[in-house]
Amino acid sequence: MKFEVPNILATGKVNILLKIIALSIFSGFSLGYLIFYSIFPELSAPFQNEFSSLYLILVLVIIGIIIGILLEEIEWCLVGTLGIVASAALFSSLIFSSPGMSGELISLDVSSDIFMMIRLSLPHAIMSFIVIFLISFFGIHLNDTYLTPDPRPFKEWEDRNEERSE
Amino acid sequence: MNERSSSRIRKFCWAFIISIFLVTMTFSIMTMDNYTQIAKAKHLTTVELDMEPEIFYVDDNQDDIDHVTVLASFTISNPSNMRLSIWTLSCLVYLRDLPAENGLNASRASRDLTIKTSDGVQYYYGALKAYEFYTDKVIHIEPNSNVTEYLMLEVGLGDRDVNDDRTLMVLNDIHDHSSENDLELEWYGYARLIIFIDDIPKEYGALSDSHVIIREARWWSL
Repeated sequence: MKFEVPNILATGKVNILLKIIALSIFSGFSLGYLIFYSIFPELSAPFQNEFSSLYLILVLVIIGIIIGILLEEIEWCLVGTLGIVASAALFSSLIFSSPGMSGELISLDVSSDIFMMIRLSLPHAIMSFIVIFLISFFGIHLNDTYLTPDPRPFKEWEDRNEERSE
Repeated sequence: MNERSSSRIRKFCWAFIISIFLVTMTFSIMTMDNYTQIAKAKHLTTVELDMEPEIFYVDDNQDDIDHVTVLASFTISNPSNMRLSIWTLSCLVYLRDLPAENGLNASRASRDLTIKTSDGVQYYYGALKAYEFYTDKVIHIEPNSNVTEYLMLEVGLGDRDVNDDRTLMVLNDIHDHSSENDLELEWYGYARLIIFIDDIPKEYGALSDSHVIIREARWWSL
């Protein structure tokens, strides 16, 4: 399969770029929270002692299908997946370093916390990227097969017009 | 599938993503608050350790030491909005003598129990581990409150712990030596208190150290 780097500034691409930004923010935040939750279930709401990785995989599959449906092309899915995983890493690090934003704890060394969180969440981020990107193929297939309007009626109408003109 | 249906499914996808976003946003705010409180507990919790030692002699002549008591108290302050569970508490108290004739001042002791005088001479004094205390007892501290725990340490002959006998014999030796040579004794008490805050994700050992609070006590004279 041939990949082309999309020119995001080209006319008509702004709409899809906005979609990717929105997906990166909304899905990235959710994924970032789930990554944090999978690492620290005791600290995260709803407070539990254990976290089943099945939840994370389920969400990754849903995100993969949705970006396949919404972005429609594999190149954009690649960009979208990268955006989602990057913002997930950013958001999970922000949650981890949130105590540093408290006024009383402002002197805490936030940078070391962020690096620790990146180290802990890296395996999850890599897994998320692979799962979302692979599942997005299925989303694209769903979109092409079931969600794209059937071109046949328009094609028949076009053929009839051609016959008349001849 | 017609265009209206596919548009409806796309809208459903967006609605789903935004719903998940709102739910996780709510949870993440709760998590950040909880985590901030834990960090406050971790970094702002203070422990004040105080000790009052006392020597009891066999008779009024003060020839022999009968027993030594040390009342240790530690006050733990919890500045966070969460209930703290403090566990695995240990308190170690060491006693040792510091002969005053060496002319050493209060800054003379180093933690490895080596003493260095102003002329560079090093003296080594054995530390007597007078008491060691471990417990699995969990202390619960309510939000924004203090808890003071008291510990009575007693070293005397005939106690259950063999080390107590040994400790008291050495204490008596030191006491006799100072009496014979007309020396004034100064005693050094060293106590170390360790508490753990019970919020540590146990599979991440690297984090555990940062949740440990260690406080060390000070000099005293008997």
